[in-house]
Amino acid sequence: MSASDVKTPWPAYRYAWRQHRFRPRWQLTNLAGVFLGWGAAILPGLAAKIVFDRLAEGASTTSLDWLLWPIVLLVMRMVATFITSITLQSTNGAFAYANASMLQRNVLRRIFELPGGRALPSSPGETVSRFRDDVEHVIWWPIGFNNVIGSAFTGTIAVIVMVQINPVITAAVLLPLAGVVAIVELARRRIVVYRRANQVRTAAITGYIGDVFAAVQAVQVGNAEARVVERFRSLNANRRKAAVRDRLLEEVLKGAFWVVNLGTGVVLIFAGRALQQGDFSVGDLALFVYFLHIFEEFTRDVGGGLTGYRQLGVSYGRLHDLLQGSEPGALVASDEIFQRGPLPPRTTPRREIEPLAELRINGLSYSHGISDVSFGLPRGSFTIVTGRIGSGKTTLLQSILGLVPADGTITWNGEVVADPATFLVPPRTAYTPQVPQLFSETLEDNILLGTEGDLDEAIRLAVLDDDLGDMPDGLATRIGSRGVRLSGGQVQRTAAARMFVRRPELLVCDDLSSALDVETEAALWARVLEDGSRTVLAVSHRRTALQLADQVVVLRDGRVDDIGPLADLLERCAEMRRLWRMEEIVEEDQPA
Amino acid sequence: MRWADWRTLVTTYLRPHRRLVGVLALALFSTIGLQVATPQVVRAFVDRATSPGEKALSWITALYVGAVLLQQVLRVIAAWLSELVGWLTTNDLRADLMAHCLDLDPGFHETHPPGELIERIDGDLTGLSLFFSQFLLNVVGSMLLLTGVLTVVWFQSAYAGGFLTAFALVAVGTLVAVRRVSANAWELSREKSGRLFGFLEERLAGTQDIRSSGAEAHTMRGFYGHSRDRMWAISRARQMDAIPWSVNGIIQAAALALAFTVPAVLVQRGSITLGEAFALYFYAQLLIQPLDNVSHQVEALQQAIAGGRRVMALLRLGSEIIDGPGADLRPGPLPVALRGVSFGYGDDPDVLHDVTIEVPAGTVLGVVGRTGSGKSTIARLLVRFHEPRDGVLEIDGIDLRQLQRHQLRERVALVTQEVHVLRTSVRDNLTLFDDTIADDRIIEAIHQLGLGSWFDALPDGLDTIVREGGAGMSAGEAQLLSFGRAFLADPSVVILDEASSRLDPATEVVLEEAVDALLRGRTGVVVAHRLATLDRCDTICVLDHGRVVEFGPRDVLAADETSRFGALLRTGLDVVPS
Repeated sequence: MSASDVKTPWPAYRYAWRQHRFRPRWQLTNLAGVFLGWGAAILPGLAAKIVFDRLAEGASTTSLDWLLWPIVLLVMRMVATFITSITLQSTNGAFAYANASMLQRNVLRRIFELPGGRALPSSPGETVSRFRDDVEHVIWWPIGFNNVIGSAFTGTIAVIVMVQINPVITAAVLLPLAGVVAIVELARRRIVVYRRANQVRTAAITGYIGDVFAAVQAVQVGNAEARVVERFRSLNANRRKAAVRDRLLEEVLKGAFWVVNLGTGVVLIFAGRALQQGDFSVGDLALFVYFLHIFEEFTRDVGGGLTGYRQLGVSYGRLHDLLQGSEPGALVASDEIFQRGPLPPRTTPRREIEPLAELRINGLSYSHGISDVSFGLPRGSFTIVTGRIGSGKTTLLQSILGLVPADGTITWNGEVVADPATFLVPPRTAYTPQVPQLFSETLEDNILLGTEGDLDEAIRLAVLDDDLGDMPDGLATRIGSRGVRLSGGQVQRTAAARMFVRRPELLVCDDLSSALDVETEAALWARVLEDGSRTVLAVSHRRTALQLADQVVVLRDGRVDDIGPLADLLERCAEMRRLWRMEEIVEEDQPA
Repeated sequence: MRWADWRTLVTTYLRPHRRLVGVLALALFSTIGLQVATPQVVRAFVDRATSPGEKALSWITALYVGAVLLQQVLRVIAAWLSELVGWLTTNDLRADLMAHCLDLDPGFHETHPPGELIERIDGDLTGLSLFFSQFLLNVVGSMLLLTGVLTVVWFQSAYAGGFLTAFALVAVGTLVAVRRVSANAWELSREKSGRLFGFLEERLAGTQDIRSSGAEAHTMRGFYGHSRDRMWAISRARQMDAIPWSVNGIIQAAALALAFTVPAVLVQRGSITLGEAFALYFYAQLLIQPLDNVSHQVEALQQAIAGGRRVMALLRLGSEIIDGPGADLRPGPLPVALRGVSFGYGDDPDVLHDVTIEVPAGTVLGVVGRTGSGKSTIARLLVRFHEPRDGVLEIDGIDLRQLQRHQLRERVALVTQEVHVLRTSVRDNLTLFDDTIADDRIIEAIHQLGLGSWFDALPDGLDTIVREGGAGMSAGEAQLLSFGRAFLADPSVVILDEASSRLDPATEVVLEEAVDALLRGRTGVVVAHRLATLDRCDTICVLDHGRVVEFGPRDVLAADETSRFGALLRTGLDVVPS
């Protein structure tokens, strides 16, 4: 099932209506501009009738005074058009993109409520495509819809004028227009299918570009540039096919809308005899032909609106999919988007919380990885989780912290934690993932991420002080895309500093030491454990760490193989002995 | 954007599709011919209908409807072909842009996150695609229509022709003059969009970090800032566009005014018939359409210009690493050497100082030192991600700068601690899309890596899609994939940069044999912080703050009481206060 098949809980118009109402002042300005511009569009038709009726009377006079009125009508039209374009152009951008900010904000906000390890249904690159393309599709809807209203208004006036001139010819012209609407309705399903294919393929392309450049080193080292580009070409060709098909159908339908010339033909068929009999003047003919332009735009707008409405549903669906089961209106929640004035405060003050006495984990299970894990973390203790790759160490930490949705209970000082994802966060806990993500900001921003705290102390604990001394810009060093200007160890210690600066009651680290050398790691643990006040839960295989632990949790195939102090485990637990062996080999190997 | 740039784009990307463009032009010319001809049918109709006596009008109306239907069909064909041409040309450009970006050095990629490149390789081309598919069609078609209409009007009445031509020249001149008003504003808005989506891509990749650091509010604040920057930039660009838009409105009204006054004067003078006046009215409206088209395309053109500028700017960026003339490397293991190498990133001070190391063919060098001592830098210099500031790196006695990068990287494999997984099949992840590698070789490599049981559990075998950081692949397993890549590449020199750092000791034991197999008969450079990893090394180099402080045979150093390496071996397992 592709994500694009997701249905929205509301019909598309309910979301669209929220967008209309999001910025009422701009919405009304837009509507006023549209009415003025469209209303004035009938004036040249009236002018044309005056001119040609007069000319048909023959060259009885050489005075051109009668041209004054038609010219006045045209000047009125000119002024109205001028005002309309100034009005619309100066408000439309803000109107549309305020909606974009609102939609993107709502999705992003929801993503930060979801379990952090499973927050996206697809890759970041593909998700960006929804933030960009699907949002772009829906934000122009209110403006397009207003346009339809404006052209409908003008169309109605035009029809009234035409009926008064000749009802039969009017009917003959208008009937085909009804047919157009019917055709679009029939073509609806195809339009949606094509557009969906187009969007899915676009998303595949943006996802691929994101992936490739996130792994650019591997591609370059693997000498795979040419092959990667070849694959990109085939993805592009797929999208081309979908896009061309999409456009072809759109053009065929638009051709059907293109009523001016065919409509003129219809007018000519019916007007011929009437003209000869004097029931219909050349001026009337000029007016009818001119009004056809108005109907052309009207049917084009209506058809475009209908097609756009189908596509609207697809895009709302893809955006709603990112919300993963939130309440229906969350996508269009219309609270503050800070488009002007001061942004929300840069830092949030530390909350006061009940200090940790003991955290207990009871019967924790997660479908992909761990089952029935129980143990306790008393204040001031150092607990190490160890095991082979794939034994569920990372999943265990993620389950405790609510980064994946796990079953079982967790208690904080004896009280059951209802939602670990919102409860086990700073200042209660902080976490350093196995593969930390840093952002293209300064080192300081990456560590603080909006908290206030003792930076120097955090840097000292993370053993980053020496490295900082070697950086000419110090904390202001911009660390490049995803921290690539730092070494692997520096990335991990920056993430550790990010954890320390939050002064959490419980520190959770996933294989913090994997990118650290022996000396640096030893220094880090020494500093973290120096005053015995910190409670630490860490994944590690390192002997340096294991030897310091108060208790070791040995995981095997997602279950607890054994728990206890290292010395006991080395005696009674075969798995622990196997995990220990690596380092023993080194010892034996050492020359005297 | 300069003319030369447009010429480059057109000749490079449009020329290969010149046949399609030819058919497109044919369809376009026919449509325009029909458009110019139809008002003449209307003229005949009005003259016959208003002259005294009953005259047959039905064949004239039939002729009109037929011409219009044909026009419709041709329009659809032209639109379809132009869409096709638009995609064919820009897809070639997209592929070239990706190839170009892949060719750029790490310095570029540090400052341009993947999210931004999505925008620059795909987003920026949307405007250009419209340029190729719609602008050419609409603007070139409109100009032709303009010329056709004016020619016919000249024939009908030189007086009317003169007026309309003068008007069209002024109108086109004005539209072209106001065309560029908002180009800079559009470029700025694209830049802001790039920032916003670059920001979003990074944050979406780091949801876990943001959640567990309690940094949601901080991230939202960043989003609000980027989002409103973009919103106001786009709003400003559209405000600038009000100028061409209103100019266009004025021109349209003026065209209609001409369409009334010129025929009025001529009819009253008796120099044209009523039917001819009606045809002139049609022609004046036909003039509005191309003028309207031109100005409607102003926005598209400006976006195309802004996109085109950014594309050309990207294409003009050269890699700091320049390929050499190329040289032949001997088959089999190759010696590697650094001679007096100094290096620093960007304008930063040196991180390597006068490093000289030799690794004879077929031997393994271990590099140790604290994090940040420059170990990884050596690995990166050896695959030529960077250029040394001073000194020479050699493979097989040849300066790396003499080689083409692909020659070097065909023979040198680097396995790093970074986890790079593509969301594609296991096969493609291992071979990096190399179809020439047989499946049994891939499966053999997987088993050698000790991933056999993981592989057997995959639902679709090699075709299973690997999910980034998701189910089915832990970070450790993902790291094993990079070993797999090195295996399959069959290199002469293997560089392991803390490559097993994410693996637990038990898995590392399984991998031991695999690493031995990988290093067997090859030259190796092993950067490690785990002492166990260094067992297989012949020589050891200890780095401290970018300087070689010890370099010699492993056994000699290990036995030396005063050696740093020896001290490390003896104390490595205990806590060393820093």
